[in-house]
Amino acid sequence: MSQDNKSEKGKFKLERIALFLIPIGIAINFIGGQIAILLKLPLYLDAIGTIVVGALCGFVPGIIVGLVSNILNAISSPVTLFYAPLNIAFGIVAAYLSQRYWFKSVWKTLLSSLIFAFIGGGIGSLITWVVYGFDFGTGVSAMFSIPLHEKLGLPKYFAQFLAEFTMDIFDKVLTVLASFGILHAVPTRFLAKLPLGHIYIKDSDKALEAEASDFDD
Amino acid sequence: MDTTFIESFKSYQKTGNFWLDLNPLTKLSICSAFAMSALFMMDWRYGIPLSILCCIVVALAGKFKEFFQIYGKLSIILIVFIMIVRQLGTRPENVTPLINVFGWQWYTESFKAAWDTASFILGFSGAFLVYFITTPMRDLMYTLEQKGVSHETSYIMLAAMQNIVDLRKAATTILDSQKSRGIETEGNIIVRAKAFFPTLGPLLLSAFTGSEEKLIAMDARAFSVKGNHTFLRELEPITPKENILIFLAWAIALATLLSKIIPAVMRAVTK
Repeated sequence: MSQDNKSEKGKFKLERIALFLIPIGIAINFIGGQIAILLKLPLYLDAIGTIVVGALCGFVPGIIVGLVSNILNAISSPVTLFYAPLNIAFGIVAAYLSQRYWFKSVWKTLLSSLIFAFIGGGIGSLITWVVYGFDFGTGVSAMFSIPLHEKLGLPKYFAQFLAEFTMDIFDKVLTVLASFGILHAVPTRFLAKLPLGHIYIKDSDKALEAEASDFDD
Repeated sequence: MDTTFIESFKSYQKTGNFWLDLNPLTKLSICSAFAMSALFMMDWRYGIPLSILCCIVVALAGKFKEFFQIYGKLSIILIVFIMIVRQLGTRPENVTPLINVFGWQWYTESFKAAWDTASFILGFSGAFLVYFITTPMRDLMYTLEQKGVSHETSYIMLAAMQNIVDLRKAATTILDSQKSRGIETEGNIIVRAKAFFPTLGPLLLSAFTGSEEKLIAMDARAFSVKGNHTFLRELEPITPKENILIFLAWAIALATLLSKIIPAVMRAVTK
């Protein structure tokens, strides 16, 4: 099932099963946002798919999910195109951390939310800064960034960064927790077919040990 | 037996409307050029006429209602927000008073700056929104495949859009069924956040396992065959007339860029 599939131009190799997981990852990004709206949560929750697919399939699928989600979002709000680097970064970081077994423990997963929030808030606020003409952007963060700038006298960009980072933390904590839950709920027979799935198979190390001791008998 | 429907697939697909029948890549090129020109100009005197032009083009293509549902909302929110944000706080460049809103002094400089930024975003967004409202995604993917993009990429885009629609419907169903099982969805933010996981979980896991079956189904339809794939619906390739339109659009974009660069260079040189 996991045959390599060279595209006609031979540009990149994509595992077949990863190819079919990508549209689902993209849809998950959209659904996360919709459920947040249905539950009236003031969060985006639009990176769950990127992180899960990045964690299960690696760098390239994670990047594709992030990029295509961004493009599809741009259909109804073209300014989002400028934020493409963010989504790509989420995919890359998710794959990177997954390979280092970060998503196997709840605490490390929560720690990763800081990294994601830094990317989302930090690079995000940088992009907002440039797009909106080196001034505060629209959106909820303006409610915090402007008082921070006025009352505490913080430099404009720093106020924007702080506001966006703080807001993004809440979003990303829920995002990584949801991703953690999903990663550990995927059935083993499906994990076995995914490039990075072996990381999340429960007790895989113990199973190998038991097998080894069986041979010893 | 009436064979007009079947016969219609033997020729290029046309709708009869000039804008809609343009090749998707032509339209993409034209809309991108105008979007970029809005970026280069960053001026309300260019951005607002451009937004109006977008509305006109969409109206001529017969898609004004869908366009305006998104664009209208976007415009109002954007304009109001940027206007308010720009007027907040004390800014050194504000000297000319504009109007007094319930004791809050508004200045002309911030007003103009707000309109410059807002109109750039409106022009940029408008151009791309016109494109996506008037071009079905499958037509765009068809033209890209003709250019050599792999059909896997087409699959990703089209399947993603279909999955979004499917999962959206499933999400509301699952939320309702979880509510009936006693999952609390009303209350404070912690309660609502906790309801997120039992809603998302079953949805995603069924989507994941469904992808395996989809893989088998697509294989049975020769998805992974190495040869050239055929198409049911074919579009006319780009005509020379369309190339002229593309050239004009990018000429305008270049002109706007030069109109900003040349004065800046002159200023730097004459210092």
